[in-house]
Amino acid sequence: MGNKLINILNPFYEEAQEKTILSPDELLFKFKAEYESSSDFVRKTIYWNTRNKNDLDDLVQDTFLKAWKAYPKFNYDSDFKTWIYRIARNTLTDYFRKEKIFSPIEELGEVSNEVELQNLITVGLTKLNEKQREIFILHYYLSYTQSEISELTGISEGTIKSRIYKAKEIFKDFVEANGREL
Amino acid sequence: MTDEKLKTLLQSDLSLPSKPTNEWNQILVKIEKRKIKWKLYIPSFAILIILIVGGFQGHSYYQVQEEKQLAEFLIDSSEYFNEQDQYYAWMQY
Repeated sequence: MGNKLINILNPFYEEAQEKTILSPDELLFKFKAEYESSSDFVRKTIYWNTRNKNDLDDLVQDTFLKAWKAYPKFNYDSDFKTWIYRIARNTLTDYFRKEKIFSPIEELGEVSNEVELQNLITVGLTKLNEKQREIFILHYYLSYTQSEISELTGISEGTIKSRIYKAKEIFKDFVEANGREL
Repeated sequence: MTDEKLKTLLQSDLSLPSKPTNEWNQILVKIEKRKIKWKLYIPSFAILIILIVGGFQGHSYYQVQEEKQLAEFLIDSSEYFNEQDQYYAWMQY
């Protein structure tokens, strides 16, 4: 009888053993380690998608605050980087909904041959729509492969390939039209 | 334009502002603020629930009057079923 009961309860016991229950302090400590390993990536992603230095810090902090709220439910089904990227993406979507535009376009004005590289890139990025820009940045600036982008964004590789192609054509035309030889 | 040239062009842009040294502390402050908010919300919510439930359970003046009338009616009506009453004497308890 005793053995039977142990056999019945055993799977539940093992399952409970597997799930490590962390105290709030331990959870925060673990989250801090994740922050340290992914904050540069989040920062680059947000800056390159907005090109706005003024809002950058707030957007990065908002992303990690949202992540912290959801962190107790995050069970590492996916990589933390993938998870935080999707949160950053949602933060950007909210930001663009509120801001309506890719911010720096108004500050830059007309682009001439003398324009600095930084401004050329910024304005070049405004020629892309949000979806193209996201993939373009991941591929050409952050050097992610198509399959890595697919994993990060949840978009099929075929769609990514076509977005990279279109974005590259648009960006290339703009850069060349502004007299930049590559 | 090859992919490599494009990557080189983009990566030569060093305009990304450096990370503030106290960024983690700023995030921690926001996390703590949120905790404090919840600490205030929970007692206020509990008080609200107590008030609502208490309000429903409390007897109004009209309810008390109705209950009184019902009690009076029941006491008064008991004589209808009195065995001594000739109309109801056939009733057996």
